[in-house]
Amino acid sequence: MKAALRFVPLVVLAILTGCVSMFSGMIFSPTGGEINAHNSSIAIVAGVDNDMNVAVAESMTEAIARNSTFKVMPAKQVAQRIAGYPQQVKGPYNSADITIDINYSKTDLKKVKEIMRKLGTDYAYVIWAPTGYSRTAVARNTSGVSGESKVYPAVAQLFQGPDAKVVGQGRFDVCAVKYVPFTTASDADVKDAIEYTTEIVSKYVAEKSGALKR
Amino acid sequence: MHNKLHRLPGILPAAFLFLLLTGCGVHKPFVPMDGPVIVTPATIAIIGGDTSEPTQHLAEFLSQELSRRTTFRVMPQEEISRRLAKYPVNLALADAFEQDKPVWVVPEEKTKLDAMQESLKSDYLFVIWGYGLSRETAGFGNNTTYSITALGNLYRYPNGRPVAFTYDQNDRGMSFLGVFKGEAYDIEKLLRDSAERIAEKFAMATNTGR
Repeated sequence: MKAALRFVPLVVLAILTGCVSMFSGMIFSPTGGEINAHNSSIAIVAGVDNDMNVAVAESMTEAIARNSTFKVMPAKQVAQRIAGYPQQVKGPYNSADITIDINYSKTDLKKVKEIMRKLGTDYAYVIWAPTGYSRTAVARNTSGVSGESKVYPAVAQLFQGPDAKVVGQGRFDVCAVKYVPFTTASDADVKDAIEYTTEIVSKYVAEKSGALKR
Repeated sequence: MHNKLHRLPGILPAAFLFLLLTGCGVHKPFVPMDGPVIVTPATIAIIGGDTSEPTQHLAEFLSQELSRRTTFRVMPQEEISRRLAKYPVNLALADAFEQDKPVWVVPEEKTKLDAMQESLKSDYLFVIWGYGLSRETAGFGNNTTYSITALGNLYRYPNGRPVAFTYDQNDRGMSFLGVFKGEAYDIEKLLRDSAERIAEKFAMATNTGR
């Protein structure tokens, strides 16, 4: 009981600052057996042309560089290598109006292959946050018992080049949660939520890819 | 007269007050800005104002409805993608909600629009956004409503002036089928309904109905 209680502050912090899927298997899972990516090169790519997606990809780039043994291509270099970055890449979902209806078979693999060829890295971690145009999609609960939170669902796949073979995938949400009634998550809250979420997700990706920094 | 007023059922004034307070939203699917929009047989391209799925779907559905209902030659969205170096695009949206004749494209973005028209060679551009798509759930999940606001302007070339605007709020309750098919079903219906409303008024205002 005492051991379990140690995690209570972490859970409370998670609730207040943001949220990540509670099931690690959903955040990132290898799709075809073990991944041995220790010391391999990787680029983090935004799959949708919107500000939130770019912000998540940039934050994830820094987090993966911090927490893994991957040789991470800086975000600026990714943008330079891919003409017209960020490009719209058809992602692993049927629809993404408010929530993402995930379907991992829907990704435009041809386009990902093209992108990987330009990047020249061993791996590409492509993140799609398609509802991340902040004025576009809002889910409001008008029961009045909570504030207005901002939730940006994301789905991601890890590709191994040059054939862009899918070797891992998962989903996570960037949540700036407000429990106090009549308050709204601010831009600063969203920025904190992005940093918090990418820190957690990067560790899962690194661990499951055999590249966790010890 | 005084006696007749006293005979009104007590509920009626309350009902009127309720309607007044809850409001019915803004409903201006297509409004000419400076007199009638005189149109000869012409080409038009519908440009989604941002890369979000609601806007892209609205642009697609509006293209289909204008093709169906008007004599305009409507450029398919696939052709727009082929002809432009980058499409879809993100055009900054102006805060024109309080204007009588809103122009939704910020002045700094107008050159982008003009460059698109140069590539597409269409007589008209209709820039459209599906803005503020939301899902509101009241009563602990018993009552779900989807809402969206269509914002847009019709530009006539070669002078590139806006000649009409769209500012149309629309909503739709979750349907019985939507419960089984998922929210994409009801959202698609909402967007198609918005596109139909715009296209209907467009055809009337431009006198190009089939």
